[in-house]
Amino acid sequence: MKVIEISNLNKIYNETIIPVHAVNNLSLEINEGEFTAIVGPSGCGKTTLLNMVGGLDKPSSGSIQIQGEDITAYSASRLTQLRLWNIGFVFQAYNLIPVLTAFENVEFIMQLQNKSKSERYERTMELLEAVGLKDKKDVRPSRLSGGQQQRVAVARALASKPKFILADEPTANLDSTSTETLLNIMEELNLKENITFIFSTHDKRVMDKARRIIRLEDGRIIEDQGIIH
Amino acid sequence: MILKIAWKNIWRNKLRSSVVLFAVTIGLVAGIFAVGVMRGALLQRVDSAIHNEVSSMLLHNSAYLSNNESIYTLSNADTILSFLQQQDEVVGACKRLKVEAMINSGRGPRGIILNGIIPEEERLVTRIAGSLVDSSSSYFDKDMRYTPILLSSVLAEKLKVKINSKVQVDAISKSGNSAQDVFKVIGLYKTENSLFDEMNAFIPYQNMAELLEFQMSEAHEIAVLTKNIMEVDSLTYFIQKQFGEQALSSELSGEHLSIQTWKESAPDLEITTLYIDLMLYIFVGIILLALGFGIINTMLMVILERTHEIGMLLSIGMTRLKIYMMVMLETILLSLTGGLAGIIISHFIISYYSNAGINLDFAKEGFNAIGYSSFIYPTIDWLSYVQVTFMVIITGILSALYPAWRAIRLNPSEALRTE
Ligand SMILES: Nc1ncnc2c1ncn2[C@@H]1O[C@H](COP(=O)(O)OP(=O)(O)O)[C@@H](O)[C@H]1O
Ligand SMILES: [Mg+2]
Repeated sequence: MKVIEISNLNKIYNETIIPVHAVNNLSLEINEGEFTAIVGPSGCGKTTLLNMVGGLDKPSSGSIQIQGEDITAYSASRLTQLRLWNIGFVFQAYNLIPVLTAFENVEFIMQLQNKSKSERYERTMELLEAVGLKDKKDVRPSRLSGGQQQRVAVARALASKPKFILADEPTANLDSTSTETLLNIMEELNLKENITFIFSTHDKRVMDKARRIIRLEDGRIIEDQGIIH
Repeated sequence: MILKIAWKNIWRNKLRSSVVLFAVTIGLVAGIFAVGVMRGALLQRVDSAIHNEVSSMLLHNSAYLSNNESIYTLSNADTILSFLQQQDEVVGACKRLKVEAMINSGRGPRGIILNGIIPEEERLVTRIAGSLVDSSSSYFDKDMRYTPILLSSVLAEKLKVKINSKVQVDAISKSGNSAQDVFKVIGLYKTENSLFDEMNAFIPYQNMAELLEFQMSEAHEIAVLTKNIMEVDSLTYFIQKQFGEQALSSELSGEHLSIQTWKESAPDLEITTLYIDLMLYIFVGIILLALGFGIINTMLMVILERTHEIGMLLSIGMTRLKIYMMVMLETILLSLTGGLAGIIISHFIISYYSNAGINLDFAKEGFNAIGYSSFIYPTIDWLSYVQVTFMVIITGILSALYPAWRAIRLNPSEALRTE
């Protein structure tokens, strides 16, 4: 089943003297259950692409369909609802609310969704268990390692039961052991629970884990391996 | 949850928040204390004026007020007095003869107002007796060779007389004859109003009536002290109803009973009481205005520092309204914490000084010249604390408007790119 369908997407930044064509006439489909890496050197347009898919940024032209609906014309408040209910986000760093514990950070998104206390508790514990941080539930982000913080972020991203997860260079700030742990957790969630992951990276080891690799250069797809139709 | 985050966010930068809290606390303590002191001084002034000068109300013959001639008396003073003394809300009522006179101690004459009073009645209304600073006897003793006179210490100093000195007083009697007598100074009083002190001397009512040919039932003035000085209007109405129509003098027409409440006989006092309430708004308002700019500045720094975090919150689906509320609450809580600390500290300081008093003796002359005591007991009421709390909350809200607006104007993708 198609989760995301992008066609003729363009993003041109006009703020600088020379306009930057960050995403250039890009078309792409993502299916349910994919474990896909967007790869390419720094500045190739990975973040720009993911931000537009996540409804954080408006494309200059083209369309992005999520579950058959074009989101490019959505209002700001509708995009907020889309993000809350359908998309899980993991960023490079500083993903968590510093004043809340690991448990509260995961629970927070379900509070935004007005879920009941018992449901929130159950799901939060389940997810912390899945990312192996049940024993750290009452610890604040500042007392967690970078890898642990990213695992909490993955748990948080999953808490809302989204259609897919966008992770923009989730391992860029991690050492190799933490990178491997995080990827294994993501892979397991993908395989066991059929959660769709789209993550960007320029790390060779991360790419190797992906089942599909989309290579970008200057905002264009130059290679697309492992696509499942 | 938003409330919890807002509260915890305050303590992320402990130093910065503490500086703001400290400033708000100190500002409010200073403001509330200053208001308490002024309030205390003004209330004491009102209290002193009521108890020494204008009482709750003063009754005169209207012609006495317009012509200021001693022939215009209240001929039925005793009837009015006994009516007043039966009223529940009346603490005390007394009659007085009041005539302009010249007092002479051998150092040249001075103009004064000679008051003929009945000490037992006067005691219930005014504090002249209680403010005797020096006396050879208790109020007016009987069986003296000379008629006793009570002067203020200010006047005594000007006349260069002491206790037991003799002074001569000249005045015009009711029938127009000039009359004079020698009096013996038996006591010196002192109120907080040096102007009043300089002008007023007191002798027994009976002696004055005899000397100046007044009837024993006559008086120029009746002073009334009520339980609650704020509620004098209904009593005024009753007195008016009872005596308003009665003739005051057989020969003269166009005279009627005039009733002046303290608000009329001392309009400045009424303004003073109004000012007591306004002062809080003015003082605390100015302080909070200044603090508000500090709070705005602090919150703008907070927003700037948390740009990335706000971008993250917007991205994961927190609505702009919730983010707006979060910044609002953080600002309000920050202000309110400082505000409550300020109120509590002020309360303790004012409580202490309201018992101990503040002695401003170094400026005594100045204070007394304008009718104020130099020994001040600060006071503040609970309503003022409630008002201050509201003002702090409003300051918090106003100071949060701009920073919160800046926060929700952030674009999530750009906010996320900032470190
Ligand atoms: N706000 C912006 N204004 C102008 N140019 C931008 C802006 N954001 C990104 N770019 C440019 O767009 C291109 C793609 O950037 P980005 O999507 O961040 O790439 P990546 O995430 O792959 O490193 C880069 O050349 C970058 O300099
Ligand atoms: Mg990037």
